[in-house]
Amino acid sequence: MKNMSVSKKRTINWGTVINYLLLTILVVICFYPFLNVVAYSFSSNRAVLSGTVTFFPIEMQLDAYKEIVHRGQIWTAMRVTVLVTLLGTAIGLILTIFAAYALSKDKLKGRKWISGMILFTMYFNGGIIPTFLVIKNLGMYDQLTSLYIPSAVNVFNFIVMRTFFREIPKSLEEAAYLDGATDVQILFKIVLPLSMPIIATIGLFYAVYYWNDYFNALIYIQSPEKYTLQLRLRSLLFAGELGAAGNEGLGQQVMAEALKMACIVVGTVPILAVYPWLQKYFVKGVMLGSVKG
Amino acid sequence: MKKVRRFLAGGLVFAMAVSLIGCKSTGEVSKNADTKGTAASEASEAAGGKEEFKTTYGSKKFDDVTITVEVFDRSNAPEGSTVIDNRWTKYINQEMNKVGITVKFVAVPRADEVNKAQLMMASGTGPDIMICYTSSIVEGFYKDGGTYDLSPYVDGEDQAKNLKEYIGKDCMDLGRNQQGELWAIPARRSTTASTNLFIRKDWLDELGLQAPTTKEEMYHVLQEFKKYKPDSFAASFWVCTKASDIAGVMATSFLKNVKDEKAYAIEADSATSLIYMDPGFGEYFKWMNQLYNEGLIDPEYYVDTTENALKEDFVNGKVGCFESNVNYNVDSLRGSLLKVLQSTDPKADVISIPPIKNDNDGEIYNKNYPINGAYLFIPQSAKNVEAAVTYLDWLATKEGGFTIFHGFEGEHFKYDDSGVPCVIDAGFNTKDKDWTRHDLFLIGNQGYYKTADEFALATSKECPGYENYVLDNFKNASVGIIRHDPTFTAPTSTEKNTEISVIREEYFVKLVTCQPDKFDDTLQEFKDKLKKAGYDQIIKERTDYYDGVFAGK
Repeated sequence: MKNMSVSKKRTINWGTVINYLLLTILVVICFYPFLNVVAYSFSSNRAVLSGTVTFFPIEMQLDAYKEIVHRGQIWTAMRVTVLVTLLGTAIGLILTIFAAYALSKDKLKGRKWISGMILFTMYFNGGIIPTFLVIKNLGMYDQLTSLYIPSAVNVFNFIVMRTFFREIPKSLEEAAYLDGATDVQILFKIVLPLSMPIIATIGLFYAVYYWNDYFNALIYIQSPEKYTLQLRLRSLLFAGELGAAGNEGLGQQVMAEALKMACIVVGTVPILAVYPWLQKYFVKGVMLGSVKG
Repeated sequence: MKKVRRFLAGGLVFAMAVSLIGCKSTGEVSKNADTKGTAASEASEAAGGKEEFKTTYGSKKFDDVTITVEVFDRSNAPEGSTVIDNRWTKYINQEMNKVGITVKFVAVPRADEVNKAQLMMASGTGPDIMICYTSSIVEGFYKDGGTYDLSPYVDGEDQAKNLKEYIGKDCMDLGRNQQGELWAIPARRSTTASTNLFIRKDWLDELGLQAPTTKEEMYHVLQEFKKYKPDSFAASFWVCTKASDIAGVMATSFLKNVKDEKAYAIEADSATSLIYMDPGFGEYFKWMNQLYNEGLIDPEYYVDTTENALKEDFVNGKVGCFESNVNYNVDSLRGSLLKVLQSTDPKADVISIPPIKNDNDGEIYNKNYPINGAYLFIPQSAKNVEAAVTYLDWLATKEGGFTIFHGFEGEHFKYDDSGVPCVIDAGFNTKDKDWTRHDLFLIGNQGYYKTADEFALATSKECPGYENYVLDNFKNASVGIIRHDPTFTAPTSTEKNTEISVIREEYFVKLVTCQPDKFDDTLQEFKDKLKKAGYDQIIKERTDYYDGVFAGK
């Protein structure tokens, strides 16, 4: 009996051990670059220059982070980006939900035509300069609205959401109709609660898009106080490589590498922190789907 | 279904119509710009030409004119200020208001300067004074009619006096075309020093060797280094760090055509151009190939595409002789590498040496930057070119550029015995003005200095404890016959850039790492591929450009 249990344990262990080993290696491979960046951001100038930093900071210091705090623009940029991300995601979600829900209903007249027009923009656009002129003449140049209004609805997200709405059983809505609910009530009380997984997914798509958006800000934003985080990060990261103006002051550049890494940490952590919060919707969503399906 | 198709077709027609209307209106815009341009030039001709515009600071009182000026944003503004609103922009306005000009700054992220310039030019939203480092782009804007010819504002005897004096004729002419039109004002570099050869002084002393002055001596030193420190790399020259751009200082010592200024200007478009034309450059690669096969350079040097490996080797004491940017060993901008090295190995010492003698004629040639840096240009959207040029002129004065760059006497700097402005408290200056001084001082690169010696002296004061290193570095980077990097480029080379880069990157590694007996064949293969890529055309275009623009200057 004793022998048996030992040998049984052993057989189970081998499979698990190999699994865990492989998965751990995978985790390390995925996690290492990020950990390395964090370690760099906390390491001393000497350690960074000598290239000895791997998993953990060497000669721990906080100078890079102090420098970031000292450079007020990072926080200004962070505020701008958070604002744009929140507004952009909210507006994007609302418009996408309304459009997708309405266009998922067969009774809407001309819906194929409207869908066609929306799809059209996926394949053709006006090009940078004409679009720029339109935005400028609409008075959005150098306004934050230029960052989230022109790109408010993403066609791909719209299609994904419309497909999802189509798959919600009609009987549910019909039942609500019979109870006297209006279209708007059905959307808010029946469809949306069932659609949390897709809303979380699309919301995340939008949020990540706005968080990482760099090109629009580059083109449309002029005032330094309206620069987004990505614009700031890029100019910080490339500052060292573009020393065309020669000596740009002491101290400022000494921290270059660690400072770059610290900026990357500051720029990535907030959006990474959103994922765990949304995780539960993904899980719940899968279960919901299986029950209803 | 039919209905849908009809709708879609209708939509398409509508979209096309809209885009056509778009074309029409932009066409009108550019037409307007054209007429404005000719009107301006007619006006200047009608009024007897050049003398109409008064652009020397103080010679004309403007009637409350506002000009806009581009300034690079490097995300380094201290808390509470921005690049467009700080102590120095206020100072500028205080001084410019005296002649009735208000200066508004327009920030452009440094890393996206070119994209942004092209966008602003295309949409007519550029500031009155714009800045760009790429000559072909700026000259292109002028050819397309997008920018002003500045010669009516600058060339007259009483015009822009300060500006002309600071920049100098040679430098100014780099912004001029064959017809004498001034498409841009080139900013003058205070120093054109570009590269240094560095060597471990302590290793030399330990081995009782002298700093090498010829190819043979260099080879001997490297061999001795290898014996002395077997786990280090004896050498790291240009192709080991960045195989692009123009050949480094070590390679220049092998060039045959470098003695002819014109030939060098035409061939030094990029390193690829040199290897296509100059037999000496092949000799350099042959030499590098020998070093490589004898284990004197890092066997995996080609893996490192940034300069980080060299930096690591430097601070870990793993490299004996190398070339890099001027002042690399002590420059605080690059992390005060020697200081870092000495913190672990106090005996270590890295000094710069003059370039070794040319293998062909025994002269010392020094590869230097062009005498200008950025190009300043004024787009057609500018309303008052006269005021804009007046601002540039003011930047050349003592109250203007000098003060913006060095600050106020007593607060930021004091004069040393020879009259050179020297920093009092580097830490204070960094926070107070150094972060923006280069970008506000448009008309010069690397600061407001009359001569390169002044520059070196002032820079040495910014590296306390290493003053003599700095002075030596700049001396060694300027000794001998100077060859400036050419500033112009051929249309074909821009067009074929990607194709040529791919070939270049492949063969630069092959030439260094192949077996010595395969070297000649590899070199021939390389040249054949370049020929196929259109190199004869590039050389022809460059020769034509040189003959057209520089001949007789």
